Amino acid sequence: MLEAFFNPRGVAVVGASRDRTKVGGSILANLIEGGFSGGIYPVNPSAQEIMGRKSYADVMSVPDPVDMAVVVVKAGLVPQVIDDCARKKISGAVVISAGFKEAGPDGYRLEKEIVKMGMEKGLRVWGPNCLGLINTFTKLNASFAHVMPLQGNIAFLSQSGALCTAILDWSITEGIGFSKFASLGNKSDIDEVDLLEALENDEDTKVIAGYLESINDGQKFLKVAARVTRKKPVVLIKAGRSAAGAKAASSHTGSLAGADSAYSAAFKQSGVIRAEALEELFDYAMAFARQPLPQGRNVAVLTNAGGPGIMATDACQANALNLPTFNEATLQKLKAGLPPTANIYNPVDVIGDALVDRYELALDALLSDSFVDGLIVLLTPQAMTQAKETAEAIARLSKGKGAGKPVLASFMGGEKVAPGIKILKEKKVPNYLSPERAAGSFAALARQTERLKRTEGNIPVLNVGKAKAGEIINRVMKESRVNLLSWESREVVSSYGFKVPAGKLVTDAESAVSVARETGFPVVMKIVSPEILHKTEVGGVRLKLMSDQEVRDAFELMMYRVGKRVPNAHINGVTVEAMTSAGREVILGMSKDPQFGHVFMFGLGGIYVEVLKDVSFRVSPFTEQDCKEMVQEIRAYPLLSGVRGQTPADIPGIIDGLMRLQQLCFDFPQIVELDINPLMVNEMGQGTLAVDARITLEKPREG
Amino acid sequence: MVTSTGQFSIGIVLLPLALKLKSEGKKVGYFKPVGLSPVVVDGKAVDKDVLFMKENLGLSEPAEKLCGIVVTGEQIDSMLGGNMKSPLNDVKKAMSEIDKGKDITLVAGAGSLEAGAIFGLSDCKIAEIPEMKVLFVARYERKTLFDQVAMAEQLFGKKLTGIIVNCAPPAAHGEIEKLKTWLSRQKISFFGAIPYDELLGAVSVKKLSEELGGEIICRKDKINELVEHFMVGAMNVESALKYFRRQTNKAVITGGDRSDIQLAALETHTMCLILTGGLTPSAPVLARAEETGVPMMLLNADTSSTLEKIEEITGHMKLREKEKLSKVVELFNRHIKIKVT
Repeated sequence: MLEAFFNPRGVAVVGASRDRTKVGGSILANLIEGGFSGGIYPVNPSAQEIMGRKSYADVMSVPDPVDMAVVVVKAGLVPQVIDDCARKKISGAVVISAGFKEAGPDGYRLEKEIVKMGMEKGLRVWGPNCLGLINTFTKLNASFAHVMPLQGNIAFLSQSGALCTAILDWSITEGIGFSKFASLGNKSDIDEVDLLEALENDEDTKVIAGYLESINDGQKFLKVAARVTRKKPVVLIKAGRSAAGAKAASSHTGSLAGADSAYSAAFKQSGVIRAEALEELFDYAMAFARQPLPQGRNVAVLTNAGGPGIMATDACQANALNLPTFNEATLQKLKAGLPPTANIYNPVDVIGDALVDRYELALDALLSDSFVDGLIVLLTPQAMTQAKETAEAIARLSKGKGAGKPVLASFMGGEKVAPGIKILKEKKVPNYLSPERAAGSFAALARQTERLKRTEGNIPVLNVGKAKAGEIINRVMKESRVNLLSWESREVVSSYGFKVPAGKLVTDAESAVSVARETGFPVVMKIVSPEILHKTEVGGVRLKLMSDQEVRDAFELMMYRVGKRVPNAHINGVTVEAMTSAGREVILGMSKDPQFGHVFMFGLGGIYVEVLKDVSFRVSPFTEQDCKEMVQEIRAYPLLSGVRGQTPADIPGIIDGLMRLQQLCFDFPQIVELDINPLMVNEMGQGTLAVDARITLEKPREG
Repeated sequence: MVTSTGQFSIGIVLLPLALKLKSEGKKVGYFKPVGLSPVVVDGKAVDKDVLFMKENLGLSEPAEKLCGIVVTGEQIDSMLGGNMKSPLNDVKKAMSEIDKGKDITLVAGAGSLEAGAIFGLSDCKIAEIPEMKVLFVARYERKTLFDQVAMAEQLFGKKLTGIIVNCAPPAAHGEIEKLKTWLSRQKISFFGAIPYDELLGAVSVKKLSEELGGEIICRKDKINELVEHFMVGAMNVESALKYFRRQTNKAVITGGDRSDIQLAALETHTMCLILTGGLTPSAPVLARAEETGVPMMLLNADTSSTLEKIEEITGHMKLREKEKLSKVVELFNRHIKIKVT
């Protein structure tokens, strides 16, 4: 995959320049000076020779095989170049040039044109509007970045070119090495999914890290990422988390970023680890590149000072890591080797006057303990501290006896610990400025382990009344409506296996009374009108009606109020339904995300959703296993599973409901919004009741 | 005379009725005693509705002959100051001029039952002309339907020959039936009910840009599309999508800098984006609008004054837009059974 880009036989630079301060000159110089062993061919009709290489008038004139062209000419000239490339049988074009989608409608059309040309002629387009790409293993620097990164096992991809240069610069000082470095630009053709697929089986890459502002095809991403993360960890930043950030991203990319919750859910489902900031991205990537995965979440903390030890413990807790009790042999060894004032329990404190020998003893004991999955080793500079020697001991022991258990270090301080940190860098032991960052990175390692162990679960085939639902939905579409009446929504979910309250639609007070008598009191009455979306606000909902008289009065009053407040609304009638108060209230929701498609939401009703935002999301398709995790994920889960002797709620009923709604959206993809609010959940085994449902369909704009 | 409590309801009946009569080979005249929408053409004040009818019915008389009086502020002052007499007799004369050689002349009501009263030209007064017959168009409103019709019956008495109900929703079926029964007892004909059609309340993007003074910055080819609803985009993007999905054929009004809202609107069934504050959208968003085929209109005004202006425009919504004509004729022919002798 993308061999033409990362492993080309020859590279043509179209728009090469003699002037190194120009992009066309900088790229050519980077290719030559980077040490790329394949052919390098400057293309520039007005030059004979550039930087000691023969220059060609066009790519067709290059006599040798060329697999990749780096295009640096003005946007308007790019289509011609793409055409030339296709004739030369070049299979990849990296378009560095700007002036495409980011520049407005004309640029947008130009971008479409080159992608279309590429597709027709069998040529992939990278960019446009990007920095280029680097493969450190073939010494290919086809970018205008000012430096060649160090070699390493992290592949980095970025939607922002500027971020690429900043990271490159910083990585040199930090000693972080890369396998591949990819600036994706406008992602007109090649995007994050192509990169994931290309890196999936890349032997030089141990971990894939990336910065994204949007995802082109959410469903494809979900599928590919789920496969890739089973082979190697993928850590991504998705910028535009906040509303203001999303706005900035949308203005920049021209694509609606979609809900951040959808990204989080998609990452979770596909096993992608989401980093919140650049610091985290590289903290995690470094841990993955340099340490093995732990078996579990049991961490031993080793320190020479109490305070940082406590901080590390807190951080472990915050990251859901355990500090296990050690086995007998470990405790014996620690007790025998450490001074009596030392703490031999987790976190192990070898105290301030510790030299390298105490660290060695403790490391040795902890790494052999079968209850310990990995270590976080802290060191603070005290009077006698041997930072350098301790670093060497950590590197030696973690690779010898402790092989298979990750060891992360946090040498806290500056000048005094610097020699130690230098050794750690050389010996590939990740070092973090604070215990919190070390703990966060350990948790990332543990998540990848869990990812590999996780079973996918399945999507059962459900018995549903598709024909009936289809009839209703078709009728609504035929009437060119998009919002189903509450009555219609109720019928649709009912045909998909949801229990709904007994009731009927009526048009006069006396029928309301007779329906109420049939269903039994108390009843609920709601107005049905295509123009009234918020029934309560106009006096269109009455609860707990206990008698004939109350029902009659409620009907009259409702008609009066609705008539006053929305005089032009068309009233289909009023629903009279049995009122149920039994059970715990939950909400099942779905909103179609522009990037990921149907995204489902779950939460406990009332203040839990509205005020506390205690909700969880999953992108469809999801399995029963996903659903189960989705339900367990909310903070209020104990209220469902039962607290203080309360009988658990019918959680399997909720999961079944979510699977049925997913089936409904599989069957009718034109559903763009869907809510069951509330779904009353009875005690375990007693089922659920869909009290109110709301469905909105999509109406695409013609032309 | 076709009369109603709203100008819109008059037009929706008068125009297709005239066309129908013409198609039956009749010579049809048109006259409007009171014009309330003055516009100056060639130095003369004429009524906009009159101009529209003249054009669509192919009337040969000059516009000023088709209208009794085009009301201006000065005239009202003169009437109030006692410096002017009711022009009723002149109007009657002008009307009979028009009627000469015609099989029938359709007279347009003033737009409300009280309009023109200060000049002694209210619909009631005009109805007193001996050969005049009255067709009343009631605009459906659940609360006022029966009152409207009863009021017409009381005002016009024997002159009232028939009733048409306009903007009737399907759910009004029961009430229409009750009305029919009552009318037959009163010996008044019921000619039918024209269903509510959102398209008729619509305004074209072009018209909006003219009225608002906005500049269309992309997809000028789509400016004849009709907008039926207006929504303001000022929320966060997640709610925006939910909110915009619930309405079709809409224009979304938002700040030029709200790229997230703009993109959410473009994701849904939107006919036009109205960008306020004089802020140009970002280039990638413009490209997206181009791709989805939605015109963007740039305005210097802020959102709230734009809304006020839109309310004004849609409040005076008339049938003058060509795009609606065929729809009006179609609805009339399908739902109204009328024979004029």
